[in-house]
Amino acid sequence: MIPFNMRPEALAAEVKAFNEKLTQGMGNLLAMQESMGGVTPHEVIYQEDKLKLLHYAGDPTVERNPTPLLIVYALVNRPYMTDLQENRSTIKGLLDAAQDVYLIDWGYPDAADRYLTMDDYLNGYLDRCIDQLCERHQVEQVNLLGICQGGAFSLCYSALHPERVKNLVTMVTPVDFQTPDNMLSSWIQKVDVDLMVDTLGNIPGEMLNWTFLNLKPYQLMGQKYLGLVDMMDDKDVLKNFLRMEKWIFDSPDQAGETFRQFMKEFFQQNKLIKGEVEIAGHQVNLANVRMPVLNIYADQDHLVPPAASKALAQYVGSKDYAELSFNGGHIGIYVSGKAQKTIPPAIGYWLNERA
Amino acid sequence: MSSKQWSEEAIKTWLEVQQRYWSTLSNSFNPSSTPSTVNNSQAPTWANDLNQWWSTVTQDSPPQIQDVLNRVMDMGKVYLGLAEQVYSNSKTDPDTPSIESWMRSLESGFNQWFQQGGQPASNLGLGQSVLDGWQQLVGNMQGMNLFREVGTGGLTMPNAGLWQEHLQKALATPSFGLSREGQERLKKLSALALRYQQAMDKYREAFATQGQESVQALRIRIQKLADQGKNISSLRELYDLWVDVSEETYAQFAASEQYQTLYGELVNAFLLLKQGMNEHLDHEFKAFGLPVRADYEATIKKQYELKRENNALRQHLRELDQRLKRIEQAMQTTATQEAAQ
Repeated sequence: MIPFNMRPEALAAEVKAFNEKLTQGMGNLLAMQESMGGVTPHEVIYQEDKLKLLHYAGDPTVERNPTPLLIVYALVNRPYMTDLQENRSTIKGLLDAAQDVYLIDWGYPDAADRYLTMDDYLNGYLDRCIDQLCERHQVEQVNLLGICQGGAFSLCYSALHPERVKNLVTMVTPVDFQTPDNMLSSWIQKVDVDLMVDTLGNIPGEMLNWTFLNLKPYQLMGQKYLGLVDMMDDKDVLKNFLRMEKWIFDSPDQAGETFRQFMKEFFQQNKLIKGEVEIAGHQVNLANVRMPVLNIYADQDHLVPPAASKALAQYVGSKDYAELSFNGGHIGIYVSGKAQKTIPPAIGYWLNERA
Repeated sequence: MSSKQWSEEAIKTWLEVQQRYWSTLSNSFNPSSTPSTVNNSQAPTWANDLNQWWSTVTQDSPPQIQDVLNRVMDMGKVYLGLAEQVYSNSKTDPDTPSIESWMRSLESGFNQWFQQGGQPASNLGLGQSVLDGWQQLVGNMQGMNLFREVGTGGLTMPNAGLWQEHLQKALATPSFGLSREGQERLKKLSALALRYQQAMDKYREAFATQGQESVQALRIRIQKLADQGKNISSLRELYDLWVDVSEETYAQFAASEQYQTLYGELVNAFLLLKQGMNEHLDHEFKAFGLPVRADYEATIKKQYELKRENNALRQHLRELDQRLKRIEQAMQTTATQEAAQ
């Protein structure tokens, strides 16, 4: 017999309590306004196609690092994860750490962007954003902070144009795409990526989202929402939950040709660590990444396992390489209270030391 | 009545009904109370009650929270479904409460789903959300909604009539040109649909098997707790343990080579079918003299190439401009030096 020490009246009382919480919390939930990400004041200083280059306004009395810091976010999901709310903002933390912060918002690709390649993203958009910053600040180099896929992009760019990057920070960035614990990589191995891009053109964000949620389906599609019922009486907590929820399901489609290259060469063939990725006829050799590198990973990252990020140490050419581990997950590294206190100040300190 | 007023009214009504219901149910546990309107011999219908209430509230809920509400309600139904089954069992024999029958019901749900070729099972518990996600994805893709039900029925399944009807409707678009060519295209499309169904069936069977394994793993975990002198003492504790064990079993399954193959075949078979549908529709549109996907993509590609060329020219112009400035500066310096001499 399976032991279960609950009498029927206790069970009924628990269901009653659940229903009461749900009913009372429903009023709060129904009254919620649409939550908006991106809370720190900013201006758009450059725009091209769907791309926007944002500059964040910090306290004008603070003396900032003279080298501008450009955040390169992934094409997957939206960059306001880094600036979700007042007290959960990596951007704000970086401003507080005396950085002059810029961010590339790639926008939402549509059918017109189906043929954009990694060459267009790196040697085109990213390079022109760096032109803008160099001109604006009268400098030759910028500091780059690449996030997740944006980190892989930043590595490629830094390997191709090392003279333009003063310091490189990578956050939760996959480098070795075939570590044994990388479930995403395992799933994609037998998918016919050419067939996918040829058939769908741009890859629907919804498809990627379904894949990400399936990494932990019982928690992410179930338990999380039951947990919400316990928090629905607290309007602030509810608001935070909805902000995060909006971000999770705010998934841009992926430009077909870039998806093709990234999935095949990075995930299926693991070419980044082999030095075999080719962009516009030039090989991406990580040994060319000779500027100082700070590699930040999350110990409990289920999307980019720590081993996938830490592999960078073996391949990068920099003599000034450091790692920073965060005891949390892929998202927690941007939004948890613990991350706010540790990650942006550590990045700021590391960059200021190399100003 | 405004949406907000209506929602507040719905919540108020629901709360009142709930209070009456729970008050009656509480009395039923008290032997000295008068007979209640709740029939003790009847199983509770909490999940269904929630569903009924929800179907009225959802119509007017604000769009920005509709998805969240749906997910909360879906999980609420799973949770209350668990509560119903455990409660019914514990009512039958309150002194020796057991969750064995609930676990057997889960196993039976997966078993039924495995054996009956994907006919919707009555109780997949937490596993339902995983499959719903794929079906929703398929349904949302242009021209693919009719294949949404594959895996919960299909060509040879009890609800095959409905599925075949959908397929026939899709294929019944008028043919032009040689009839033979049209027939071949339809045959090819049917074969692709069948391949997709077979891939979905294999995925479903493997998923059902791991579902059964997850129930067995839960049974072992609970027994282990009991051996350590620990007891599960709340419904929520049981639910959380169920999630943890299901997640662990699923993670092993999802990391296996078997899953890699099943997943790859499912996605590839779906893409081939979608490609077949695209080609079929393109052929029909072309016969009407309408522009097709290939025309559209050729235009986009041309535009893309022009833009790249334009960017390269701009870059070249910038470089020339910079060179010109350097030459002008050098000339000016030389002129100044000559003037000084």
